[in-house]
Amino acid sequence: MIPRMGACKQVLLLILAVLAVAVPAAEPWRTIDLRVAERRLENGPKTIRLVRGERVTLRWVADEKMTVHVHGYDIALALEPGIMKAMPIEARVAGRFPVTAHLAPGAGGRHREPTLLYLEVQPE
Amino acid sequence: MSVGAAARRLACPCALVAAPAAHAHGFGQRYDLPLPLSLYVTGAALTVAVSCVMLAVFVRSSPHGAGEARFRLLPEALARHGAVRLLVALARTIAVAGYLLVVAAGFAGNQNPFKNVAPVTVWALWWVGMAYVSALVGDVWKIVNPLETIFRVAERAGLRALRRELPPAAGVWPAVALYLVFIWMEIAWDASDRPAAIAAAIAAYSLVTWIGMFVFGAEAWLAHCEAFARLFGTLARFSPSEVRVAGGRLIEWRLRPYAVGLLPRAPLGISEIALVVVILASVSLDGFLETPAWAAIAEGMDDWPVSPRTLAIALAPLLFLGIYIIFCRLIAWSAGGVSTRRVAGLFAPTLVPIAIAYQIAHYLSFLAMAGQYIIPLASDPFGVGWDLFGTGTYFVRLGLVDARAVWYVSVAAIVAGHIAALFLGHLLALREFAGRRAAVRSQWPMLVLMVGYTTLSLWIIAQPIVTTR
Repeated sequence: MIPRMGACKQVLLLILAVLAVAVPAAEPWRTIDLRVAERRLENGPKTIRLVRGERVTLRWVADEKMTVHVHGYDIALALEPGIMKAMPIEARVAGRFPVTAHLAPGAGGRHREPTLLYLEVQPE
Repeated sequence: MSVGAAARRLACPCALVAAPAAHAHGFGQRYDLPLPLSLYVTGAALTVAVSCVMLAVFVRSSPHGAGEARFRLLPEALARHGAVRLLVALARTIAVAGYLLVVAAGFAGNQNPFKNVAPVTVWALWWVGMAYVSALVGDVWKIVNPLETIFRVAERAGLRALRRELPPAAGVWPAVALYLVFIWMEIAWDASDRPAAIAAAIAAYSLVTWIGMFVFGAEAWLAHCEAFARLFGTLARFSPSEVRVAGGRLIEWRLRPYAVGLLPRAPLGISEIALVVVILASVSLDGFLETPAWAAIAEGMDDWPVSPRTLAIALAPLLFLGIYIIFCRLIAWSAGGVSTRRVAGLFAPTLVPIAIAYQIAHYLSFLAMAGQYIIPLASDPFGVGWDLFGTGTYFVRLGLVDARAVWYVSVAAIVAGHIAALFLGHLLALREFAGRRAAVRSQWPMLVLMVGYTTLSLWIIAQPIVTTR
């Protein structure tokens, strides 16, 4: 009996070990730096591609006052000129989501709601 | 047939956003992922393969009557039964109540598009939903059209319509014109998600309809001028049921196989061909206007005096008509002994299944997402803080339909629509052209046209959606 229980334990341990390899802990946060100048994205990809379950932190700097808005996820972040702010996103839902800038009410000029980039979350 | 911009502009559910008043992005905004390349190629390959197989089968088949099979779901005797009439009356009452609620809420309610029942009801439930029901179930609009119900009630109360004769040259041109105006409102109108603007548009359209019904009689107006009766009626010819209504009474409801209702008994008139082509063009245009290709075109037209979208709505039907007529010429030429005009009148409805399939693929996830807004808004239709049914705080869930499932259903629907179109084209060719060889020859140009139109649909849903407003 005793040796068999040991075998059981070993098998159990093996299964746990395999599980530990197969199901890694939640992925670490990825960081992407984004700079907005003259109402356009100055650096970084026009489309950020993620797989569902991924987590990313967008770090924004803009040259004017604006609110950055991820549609669908409805995450909004108010920016002041020149000050970096972080926007953590957990990609729970698949889809393609525009990220637009909403400018301050007094701001003039054209392109008052420019789309800065798209967040594309693919199913696993 | 595109909830395009209209819905697109139903402002973002901005409750969480800092300055909601400033934002206006569409209610119609869709978050669909582009079809992956592998599925796009699979869909296109299937389309071509299916076309070849069907043509081969067709070469060996013999002419036979299709579309004869009918099953009386609701025979005349039963339709006259009190219980059925009560059900019909109930459905109509609900439709009229919904209509009145939308107009009242639009004018008097909260003007945030997400806090008023009007935008979601008009753009998601009625516009997209009714198109689905028409194509997949039957011509429900014919039974519940609230404008007709209200007019009939007025007639019963003693109103006597003048019943002037509509000039025969009118055809269905009034319906074509009204439908184009509607498409413009949906795709290009900036105010399309503003509740008060929606209510005003409904009021104006209702007035036109009632004046038309008063002058020309309800039947004539519905048959020639009421854009939605004609539109939903065209889609419903694909559906597996046939509704017969006369004088506002439901007479009979018959079951039939899908698509056979689109086989024309006689060639369509010019205005009816135009109506079908405008429907086909509007469906594709709605999707095309979200592609990067269009974004590039629109950017190039930045300093033009006319809005690019308005121009597109004016030109797309003409482009489609031009291509269609070229192919009809080719069909007439390869079959021999038949005029282009007759071919154009016969084959236009056979393209409708492709448009329906695209429509289903295009709006699947939109309907599942945007339709949810009715849950909180049913409790608070005017957006003033009521909670009638305790659903006022329901939070709309994205991704209710799995993204992968949307891809598969889309490709399956588009290929199925293509098969239906081919089937109709083949049947019609056998019926119309003298001899099998002429019939088969005539189907080569048709095949190219249909594969082209189906591939356009696949191409559009394989494009990443780009917002250009």
